[in-house]
Amino acid sequence: MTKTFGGVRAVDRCTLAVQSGTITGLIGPNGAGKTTLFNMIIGLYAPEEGSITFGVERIDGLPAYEIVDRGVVKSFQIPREFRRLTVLENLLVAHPRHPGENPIAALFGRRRVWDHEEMIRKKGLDMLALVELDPLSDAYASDLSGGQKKLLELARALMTEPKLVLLDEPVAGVNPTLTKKLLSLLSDLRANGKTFFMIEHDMDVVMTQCDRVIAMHQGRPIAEGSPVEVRRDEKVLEAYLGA
Amino acid sequence: MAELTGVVADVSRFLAYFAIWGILAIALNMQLGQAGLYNAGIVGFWGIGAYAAAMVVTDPVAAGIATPGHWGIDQSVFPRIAGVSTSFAFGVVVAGIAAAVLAFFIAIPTLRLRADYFAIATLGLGEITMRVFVKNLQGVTGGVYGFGGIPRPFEFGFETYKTELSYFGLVAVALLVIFLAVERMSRSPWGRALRTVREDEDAAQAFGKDTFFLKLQSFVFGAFLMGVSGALFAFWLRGVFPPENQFTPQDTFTVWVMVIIGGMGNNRGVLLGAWVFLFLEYVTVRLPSWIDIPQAFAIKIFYFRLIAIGVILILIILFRPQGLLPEKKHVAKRPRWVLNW
Repeated sequence: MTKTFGGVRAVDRCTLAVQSGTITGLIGPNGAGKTTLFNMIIGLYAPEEGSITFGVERIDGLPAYEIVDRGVVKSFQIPREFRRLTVLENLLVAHPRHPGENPIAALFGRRRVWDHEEMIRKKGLDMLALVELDPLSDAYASDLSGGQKKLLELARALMTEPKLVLLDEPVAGVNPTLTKKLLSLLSDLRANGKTFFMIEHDMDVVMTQCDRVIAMHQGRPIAEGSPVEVRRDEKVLEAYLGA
Repeated sequence: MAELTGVVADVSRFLAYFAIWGILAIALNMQLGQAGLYNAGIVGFWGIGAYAAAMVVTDPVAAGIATPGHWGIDQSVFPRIAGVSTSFAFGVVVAGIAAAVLAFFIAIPTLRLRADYFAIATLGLGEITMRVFVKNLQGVTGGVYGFGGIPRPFEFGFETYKTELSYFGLVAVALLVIFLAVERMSRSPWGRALRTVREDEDAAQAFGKDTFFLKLQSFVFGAFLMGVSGALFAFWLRGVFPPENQFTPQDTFTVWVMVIIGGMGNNRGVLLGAWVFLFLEYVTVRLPSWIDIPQAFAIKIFYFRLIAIGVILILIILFRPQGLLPEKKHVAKRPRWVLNW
């Protein structure tokens, strides 16, 4: 895949694969093209060259909302919470295929819509409890602290019932105790069959959590393997420290 | 007695005018307050609604020496209920549909534009609708002359106060129904999805919202309400006239001022904004006849209203940008009645 911004090749003929049921880490110095790669996968940018396949289906070129529908979601690095919606509402809107999201149902109201609403409301509250935001469920999302917004991002991504979750620095700015809890949550979810692809700069997290690690530099993957292998890779050290 | 009926007629006429603008403010609130659509072409939808309704409730007039003529429908085709023509009901519905159809075709190319570009595009298209088409379609719209002679649904001849009072009643019912419907829709999961588009369109897409379709729904529905308001305005004015006389971009900005003063996202708020705006207009027009003020000042006082509105707008934007009645938390709530399907 390739994506250029002006003259900069942010992602340059980059080819990589993530295996289902794993937690795969994506590392690389700033500006390596990691976030751009993620944005292409979820359909916010269209790749200029190449293709993206999820399972057996090509998903490049699909609009972002259809890609979520197929089970691929991203949590944003800089939280993009819906500011003037409550914390709980931020989760409820993320739940897929709500039967009430059309004007006719909105005007007349259907029992099915409101039964569904109650069901996802319970789900949303459970999800908030997992990230310990339940006391704030009725606050505006804009009133949360930076770390809390990261948690909201994660909870909102999980609310879409995804198969593959792209996490863009999910624990940066989150306190250590809660980080531990979140990471064990990720392991549990992985055990239940979800796949995670995670950008992370904290090498401790990468070492302990990831099954595989991919390192990127200047828009291309330069190394791939187990965390220990990648950490020892010469090209990776060079990319980080400068040759 | 004569004095009292005069006051009743005058106040009813003003209140009906207020209700018509209130519907416009709620319609803009549907588009701007919910989905974040910067519609600056309100007057186009309002005007189309007014003209469409005016044609439905009047007989066609052929071009002649004194008139360019305009389209209409032979009124005898409409059934009458208890002596009252049903053409008005058709007129209101046709007006809404005409505005909605116009909105649909305007939306297809422009809805992909973001905020300010969308505002410029709708401003231009609203003006094209009114100045280029309505003003130049001589035999269809009456061209630069427009046309009058539009009756009210209920006419009482010389008993003006009955005509005005009954029309106010009719428009008040329309405002109430529209207010309740829009409130209900704003509190639904659909309203919530619209607000995600307002807050952050990219994030809404990334979390599964077909933002183009949601914006289209909001825009077309809002335009429908603007068309309905236009129809009620045409009956109120008993005529339709092209820009320079009526339907100028100033009307668009008036609705914006009402929404900003009252509180974007709050339907009660925008009605309050409409009230503040129009009450100032009413008072400044009537003041010279109520109290004794010097002649030189009396003819200018109407224009002081515009200065007052400007000052209020600046104060609101500086000190209370959320408006007089800010948006409430619209947590979706099961309504009292739902359908069982």
